[in-house]
Amino acid sequence: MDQVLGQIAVCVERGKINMASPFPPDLAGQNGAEELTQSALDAGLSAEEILNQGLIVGMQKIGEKFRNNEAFVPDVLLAAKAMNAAMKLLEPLFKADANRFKGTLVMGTVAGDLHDIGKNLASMIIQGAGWKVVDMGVDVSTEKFLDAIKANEGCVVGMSALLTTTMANMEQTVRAIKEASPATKVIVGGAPLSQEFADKVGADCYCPDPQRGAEFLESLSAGA
Amino acid sequence: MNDPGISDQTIETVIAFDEIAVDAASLIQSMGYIDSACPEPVRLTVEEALLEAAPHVDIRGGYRILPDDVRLENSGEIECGACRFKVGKVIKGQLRRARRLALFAITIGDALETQARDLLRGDDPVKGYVLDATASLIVESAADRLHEQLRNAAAEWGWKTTNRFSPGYCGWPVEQQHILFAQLPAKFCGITLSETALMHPIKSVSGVIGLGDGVAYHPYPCDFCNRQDCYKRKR
Ligand code: B12
Repeated sequence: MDQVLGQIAVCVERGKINMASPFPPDLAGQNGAEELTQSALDAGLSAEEILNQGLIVGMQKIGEKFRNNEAFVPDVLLAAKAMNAAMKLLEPLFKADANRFKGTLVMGTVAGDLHDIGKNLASMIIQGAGWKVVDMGVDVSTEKFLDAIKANEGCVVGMSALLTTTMANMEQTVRAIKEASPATKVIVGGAPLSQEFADKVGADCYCPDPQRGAEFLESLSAGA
Repeated sequence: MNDPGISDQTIETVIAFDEIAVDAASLIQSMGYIDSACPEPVRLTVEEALLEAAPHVDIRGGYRILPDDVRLENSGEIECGACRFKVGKVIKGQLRRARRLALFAITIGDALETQARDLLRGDDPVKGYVLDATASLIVESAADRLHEQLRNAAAEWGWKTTNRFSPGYCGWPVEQQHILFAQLPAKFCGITLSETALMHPIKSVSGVIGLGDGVAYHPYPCDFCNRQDCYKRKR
């Protein structure tokens, strides 16, 4: 792999935005994700290469550390910030969504629930893995999910629930989606959930952490 | 043992921000940083958040001491007046010697939460997340303060208090929030309960505390609860 791509990955993983950013201290005064992305472009690498072999790799690394309790929510957010800064340079260069995104994830917190920290974090990580995320917000009814599935053909649906009471709503929504659109894959997450619950309601993947969701989506795009 | 004959009483109070204990160290710890160093930008944001939080926090809390005796059922249920709580074995064990039950609820309002949410989804996710964690810590700490007020009140009758227990924890189904809130005045402390048992504002805590001359406060609650999948145990 091109050396600069490796450096970009490190900058994303460690939340080094640009040269001006003093954090992390051991990288102070050095190029950050922004400058390195620019020099990769100048060297003739394509936006796709930089995204897939640089930025996404960095997000994946921090996602794995988060899963292993070696990094925490703020570390992931810092990484996402560095990735977004670099993406600003790449964004205009993608000719079509198909080159830019691996697919679309419609994401929301289920009806009756207002918790969204976990959903937002999972959205960022999955976005960082190269997916377009359509965020439906909180308290999302079954109808709204079904409408979004129609509006985003071929999308995967992600759902979050933080209370056992709203898990019941999640169950209803998953069942309704599977009935109306059997081919649509559904991934679910949230603290009180379990693999058992996900199996019972017919979800395609239980995600104890966002990285699991990203991996499942990766397996879909690899199989496509 | 003289029974002070505690009658039905409902108390609603306002707690000032400086009465509660939230410091940078506990906030950093609540975000997971224990052995590992907290990144500098996060540390700075934590300090900022603690300075900025105060004006956005409106702490209102209170409790009702039910006038009825506490009865334990073998099934793991606990009965007190109109309440029949399915608390499970762990909490039942702790409430065993309670003579009275206090139902409590406390909130910090939704200003901080709203600000956190906007930042998290917008310009500054790190700050948004830190503010959200700050709000969570403030409400927990405020609940501790309320607990302390009740403990002081009980001490005047020569009584003690148990730990506080919340629906949704230690095997007590969160659905039973409805039973708890039915015994509190409507919109108690500005808190409402949704059909799905979600309190609004989100940064609210509710629960029960046992009172009596034979009860005890347990400094290490994990010793009496062995739920391995509890997030508090992991930390
Ligand atoms: C902080 C916290 C609070 C705070 C605020 C909550 C908030 N977020 O605003 C306060 C102190 C106010 C609070 C209060 C209460 N809480 Co609370 N709280 C928590 C706690 C400790 C963390 C929640 C959080 O923010 N996590 C951080 C985020 C990042 O994690 P997450 O949402 O789980 O998401 C992650 C994964 O699940 C995954 N994920 C989530 N969704 C999705 C979706 C997809 C597609 C993917 C891929 C991944 C994914 O990715 C995320 C990152 O890893 C949890 C315990 C826990 N371990 O989660 C309890 C928890 C949610 N609370 C619980 C309870 C019971 C309550 C109360 C009802 C207690 C009470 N009686 O007072 C109240 C209710 C508040 C209300 N308004 O009604 C229970 C719910 C259990 C249940 N039976 O339903 C929990 C699970 C604790 C427990 N008992 O184990 N709480």
